[in-house]
Amino acid sequence: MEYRIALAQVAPRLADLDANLGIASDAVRRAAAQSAVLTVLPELALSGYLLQDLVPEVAIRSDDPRLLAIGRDAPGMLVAVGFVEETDDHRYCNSAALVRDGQLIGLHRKVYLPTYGLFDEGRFTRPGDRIRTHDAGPPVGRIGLSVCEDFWHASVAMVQALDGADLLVNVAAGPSRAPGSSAGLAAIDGWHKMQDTYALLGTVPLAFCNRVGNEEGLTFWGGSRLLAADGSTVVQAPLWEEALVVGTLETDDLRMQRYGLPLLADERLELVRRELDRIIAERAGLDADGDSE
Amino acid sequence: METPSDRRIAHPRVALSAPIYEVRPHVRPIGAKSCIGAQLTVEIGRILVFGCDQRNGARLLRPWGVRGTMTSSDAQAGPPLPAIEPAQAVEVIIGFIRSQMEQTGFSRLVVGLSGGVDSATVAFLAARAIGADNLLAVRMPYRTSSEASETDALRVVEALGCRTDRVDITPMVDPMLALISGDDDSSLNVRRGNVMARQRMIVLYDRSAAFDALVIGTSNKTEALLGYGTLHGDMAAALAPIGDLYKTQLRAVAGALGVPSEVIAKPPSADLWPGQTDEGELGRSYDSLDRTLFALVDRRWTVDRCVAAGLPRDLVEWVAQRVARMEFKRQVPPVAKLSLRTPGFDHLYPRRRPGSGR
Repeated sequence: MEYRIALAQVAPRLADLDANLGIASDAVRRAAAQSAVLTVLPELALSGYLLQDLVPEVAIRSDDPRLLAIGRDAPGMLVAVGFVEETDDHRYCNSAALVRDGQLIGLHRKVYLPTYGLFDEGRFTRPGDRIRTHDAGPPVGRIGLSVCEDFWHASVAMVQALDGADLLVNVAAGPSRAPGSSAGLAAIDGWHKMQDTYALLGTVPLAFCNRVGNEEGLTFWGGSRLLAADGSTVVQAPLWEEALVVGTLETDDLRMQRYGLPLLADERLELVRRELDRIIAERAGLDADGDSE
Repeated sequence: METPSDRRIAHPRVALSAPIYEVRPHVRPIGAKSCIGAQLTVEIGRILVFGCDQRNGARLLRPWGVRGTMTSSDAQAGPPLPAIEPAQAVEVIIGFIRSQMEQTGFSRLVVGLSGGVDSATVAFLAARAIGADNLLAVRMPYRTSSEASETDALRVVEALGCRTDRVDITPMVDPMLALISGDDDSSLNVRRGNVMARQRMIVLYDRSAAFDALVIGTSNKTEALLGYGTLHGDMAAALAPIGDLYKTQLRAVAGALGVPSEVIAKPPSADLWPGQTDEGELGRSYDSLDRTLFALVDRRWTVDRCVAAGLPRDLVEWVAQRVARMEFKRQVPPVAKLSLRTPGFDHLYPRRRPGSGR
C-alpha cells in the first residue's frame, strides 16, 4: 500500500508560539492538499531554537490544546512536530509530539542534548529517558520519533528499528558551518551518511526534517530527506530554502526488504545485551554481577 | 631576466595549496615562455597568478603586471590555508544580513567604505542582501589618507550604484591629535590611529541615525583573532557579516562577488598613516597568519604540531600569544557578580524576541 509523507522544511520564528502554530497549520494544509498522511515539522518548530532563558516562556504541556489542534482541520493527518515541553514535574524538554485528530499518539523527549561546540542545550533543557516507538496504525505503522542529536547516536535508531519501527522520523534544527572548507559542510555529509546507514541497516524507511532560516548568527541548512527501506533517497529538499516536499513510500517495499535482508531478525539481542552489561560494569569499575571489584 | 632573489615579493600572499576556483580567460601567463620547468597556477581570491619553477624559487607574474618571486619557503608554508566555497558563503551571509534586518526592524545599512577589500566585500554583500538603494557607503578620509583609497572606494560605489557620502574627518581629528604628544613614535602612531578609527565610528553612527540604518561591521576573522582593530572604532557595529572569514577566504568571496580586482589585489592597509600596511605592521603575511590561525584555532592544533607541520616557531608562538592577549577585545567587559541574576552569567537571552524589534 502506498502512502505519502510531507517534510515541511519551515523557518520558525524565535519564541513566537502563535506565529509558529500558524506556520505549522499552514504546512499541514499544504501537505493535505498533496494527499500526505504524515506531515513532519522540524525540531522546536513551535518555539525556534536559540531560546536560552526564554525556554519557560515558550514551554507548553504535551496535552496543550494548541499542540493537539495542529492538523485538526485535516482529518486523519499525522503530524510530527518539535516543541519545548514542560512536564508535570516541571522539567523542560526538547520534545517531539505525534498528533492526529486532536489526540497525542506519541511523544519523544530528546535524549541527547548537545552541549559542546556551538551547542548549549544541556544548560537550558533536560534530557528524556525513553527510546520508544508509537503505533500510528496503517498505513504508516509504528513510528520511531527522535530529535536531531539523537541521530548522532546509532543506538537510538537501532533500538527503534529493533522495537518494530516501520518508519524512523527525525526532526532537526541543524546549523550549518564550514561551507566548502576541507571539512566540506561536514555536518551535512555526516547527516547524509548516517541516514543512509540507518535506513540500510535498520531496513526501515526514514523521514528527516531539518529547519531553515537564521537565528542570531546561525544558519539552519534544511536538506530534509525521505529514504526508503533499502536506503535509497525518495525525495530531498533543497539546502537553506523553505520548502515542503512530498514523497511516496510503499509498505510492501518494507516487507520485501526485510525478507531479502533479514538483518533485524538475525540481530542477536541477548549477545548484544551481555556485551553491553559487561561494558557498563567495566566502565563503572564493577564486575559483571554489579559488585565492586 | 631578473633573478629570483631581487624580485622577492615583500608580502607573499600567495597560496600554492589554495584551490583553483576559476580560470579567467583574459588573464594570460605573461612571460611563461621564459620559464624553466612546470608552470604553476596560483590564486589570490579570483586573481590568478602564474609562475614557474626556477631552481630556488618560483617566479611570479601577476596579471596586473606586478612581478615578483616566491621562495620555496613561502611555497611550503606548512599547514593549509582555510578553504571556502565562495558561493555558499555568500548565500549564508546574505541570509544572515536579511534575517538581522528583519529581526531588528531596520531596512537600511551604513558601511564605512575605506577602499580596501573588507569594506568593499561588505558593501557588495549588503547591496546583494537589501538592495543598493538601502545602502549608504560613507567615505571618511583624513588628510594623509592615500588617494588610491578614495579612488578604490569610488570604484566600489560605482560598481554597486549605492548611496555615498564623503566626510573629511581631518577637522574633527586634528584638534584631538594636537593634544597627543610623547616620545615613542610607535605608541603615538597607535594613539593617532585609534583616534581616527573612533572618529570614523562617531561619523558612521551619526549617519546611521540620520539614514535610519544599522552600522554593518567590516572586521574579518584574522583581525578579530589577532585583535588587530580598534575597540569602539572599526570594531563597532550592529552586525558582523565577515567576522568568520579569514582574510585569505575573504579574498575568494570578494572575487566571487565581483569586487573590483584592483581592490582585492592591493596590499591591505588601515591607511592610518602614509605607507602603513597590515602585513608591514603585523610583520607577517596574511598567508602565514591564516595558516597559523586555522591550525591553532579551527583545528585546535598545539604550537608544537604547527611547528612540526612546517610553520616557524616564532610565528606560531607570536600568533598564539596574540590571540590570547587580545581575548578581551572579543568579549563584553566582565561584570562583577553580585546578584542572583546577572547579564552574561545567568541572564541569557537571544538579542531579539517577539516585540523586541522596533
